[in-house]
Amino acid sequence: MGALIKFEFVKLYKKKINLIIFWGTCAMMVIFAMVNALQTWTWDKEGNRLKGLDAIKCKKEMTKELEGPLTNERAKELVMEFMEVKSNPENIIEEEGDWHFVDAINYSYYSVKRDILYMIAHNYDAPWENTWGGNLTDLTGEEEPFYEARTHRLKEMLASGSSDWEYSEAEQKFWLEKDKKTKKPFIYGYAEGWEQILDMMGFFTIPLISLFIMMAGVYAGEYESHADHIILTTKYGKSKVIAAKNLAAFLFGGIFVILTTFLMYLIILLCNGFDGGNLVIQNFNIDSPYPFTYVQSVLICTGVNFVLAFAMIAVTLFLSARMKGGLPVLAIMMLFFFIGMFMRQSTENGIYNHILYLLPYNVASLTELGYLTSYRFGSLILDCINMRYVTYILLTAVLLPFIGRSFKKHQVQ
Amino acid sequence: MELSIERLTKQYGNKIAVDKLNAKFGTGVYGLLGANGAGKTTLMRMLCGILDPTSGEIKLDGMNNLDMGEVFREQLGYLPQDFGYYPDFKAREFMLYIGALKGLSPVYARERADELLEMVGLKEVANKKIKTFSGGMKQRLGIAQAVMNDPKILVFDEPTAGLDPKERVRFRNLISDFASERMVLLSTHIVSDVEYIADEILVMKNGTMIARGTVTELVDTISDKVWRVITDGESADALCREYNIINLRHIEDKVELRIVSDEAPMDMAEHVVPTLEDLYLYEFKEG
Repeated sequence: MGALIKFEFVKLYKKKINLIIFWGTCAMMVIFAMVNALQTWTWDKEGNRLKGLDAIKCKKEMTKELEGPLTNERAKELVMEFMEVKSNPENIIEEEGDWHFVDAINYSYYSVKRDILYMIAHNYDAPWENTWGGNLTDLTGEEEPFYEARTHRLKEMLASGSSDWEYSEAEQKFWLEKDKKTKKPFIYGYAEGWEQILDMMGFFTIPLISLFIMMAGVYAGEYESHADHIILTTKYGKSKVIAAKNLAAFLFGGIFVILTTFLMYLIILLCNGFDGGNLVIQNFNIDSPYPFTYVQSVLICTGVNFVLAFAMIAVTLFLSARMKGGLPVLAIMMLFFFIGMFMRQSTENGIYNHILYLLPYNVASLTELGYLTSYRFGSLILDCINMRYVTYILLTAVLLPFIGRSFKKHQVQ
Repeated sequence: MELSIERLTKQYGNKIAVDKLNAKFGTGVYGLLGANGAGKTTLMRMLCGILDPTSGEIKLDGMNNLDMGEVFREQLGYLPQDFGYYPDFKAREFMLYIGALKGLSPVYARERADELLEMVGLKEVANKKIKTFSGGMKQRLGIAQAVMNDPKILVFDEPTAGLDPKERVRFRNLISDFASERMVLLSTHIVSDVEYIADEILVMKNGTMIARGTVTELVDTISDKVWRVITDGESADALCREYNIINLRHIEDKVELRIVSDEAPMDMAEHVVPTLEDLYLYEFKEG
């Protein structure tokens, strides 16, 4: 069996098109990660526009200055400070009813603190709204304390429900319990590398498409080359070779997704720094009810992607054993994968939307870390991340026994 | 060891590829002769268990080949008409893969692969990619893979297709070497492939077996049907239109014709000793 797995693996790896796609995808992931880092830009405190690694370094230094626990008191202080800076007429320029900071203040103060101020201000946005800091000037410092306001807002969102979803009492309790587990006060700090990784999770669609191409021929390729004539007449041609093919495909696919994913992560972290991995995910999205650190979030989202990849391998193999050529397999896989991209979210139909969030394209491109998306099955409540795990593990498990059946029963023509 | 085919039928829609075929085989070389579309490949595929019959069955020592599964397949070696190979595999690597598929231990597979590659004259190119091989080399590799597991039943389907005469002779000799104590079924539409090495010839036409026997037995059935005629050009043209001409040769101002026919094509026609090719052309005159 070991020898068969080895040969099936070698067959996958040695195929010229697979070799090109394998290393081409690795190169693409590295390039995208590098381009992303090189395109980073910022203003320093003196108003100089910095790009690439210099910009990253500057951002890091500026954020490090703000590092520390974001307590209620500190949040209030930051709001008061903003009000004070803004209230000084020398610091602002008013034009046609609008205003902005003068350059010196903009670069030395506002640019540095904008992210943390937006984060605080968003807590006071109306439920389900995001003014992206537009409400900063409305704050007085006398509002409800930061964490109480955050919990209050979450409760309001759950009680009122969104336009497409009414939360049951059990769901409300589920989310509030989850949020209660987030470590407070949040530690604010620099975690650009990890944030970039979460932002670039959608790039996982590239290795997935590569997987479809490489896996489409696992069985169909044997039919196309007529190698099935020989394989099926050998002792293990209708038994062990099927298990060997499947195992080799999963092993090959596993190595491929791990390599492409972690290569991208490594480049991003090397460029932006490994700092901030243990900070809470609320630095990334204050709305997130998930009690995860950045490292945990990245690992959990990567896990979802890997489970999705294995399910996609299973579907591809299933089709490959049933169809006469790799091309139709690829066409169906592309349709199956991208269908989610063409389906627009409904403003009212929550069930439709909940199905939409589970479609492969949406799983690969949206982490759902910042959303209150839950699935209820009687008394069982699952958040979107766990639901994605369950869906794709189930899909793989259901398909596995059927993958080789068609090959075994294949009639050569 | 006895392989028996019992009322074997394969039907594709309205077309019957193999029609209620009955046959028994023991050890020895069997040449399955027939024109393209006679049903040879369909029969071979059913024998190897990669195509299910519409009805009837194939039994090895009384047991159904499909029910036997691995037990049947481990006694089988098959070289299909379209030999599917992996272009980026090296010859030796391909043989080891086949060894793994046939359940050979890796150590034995390595020894056997080297032995067979030497036997088929591919030792020097054992570590070259198959895509660099000529048609003849690929076909020799095909033979080597078929016998990798030292099978009791060897099935070769149109094994000499695309080979030049020299390669074809080499191929015939290789099969003879492998044939002892085995059941070898060799299908072809090239008479010379089986004429010298087959113990028995089976002639297939339209999915049925129309003749079976040794070369001598078969050619005896047309011993009074092969004629030699020497005539002028004008008569030769008339004979060509009316009869099944095996051979035509110009001798000065005359034409020598070899004709296969139930009756004498003309008064001066004389009997000649028939060959297997005469039989083939007699049976497949329409084709």
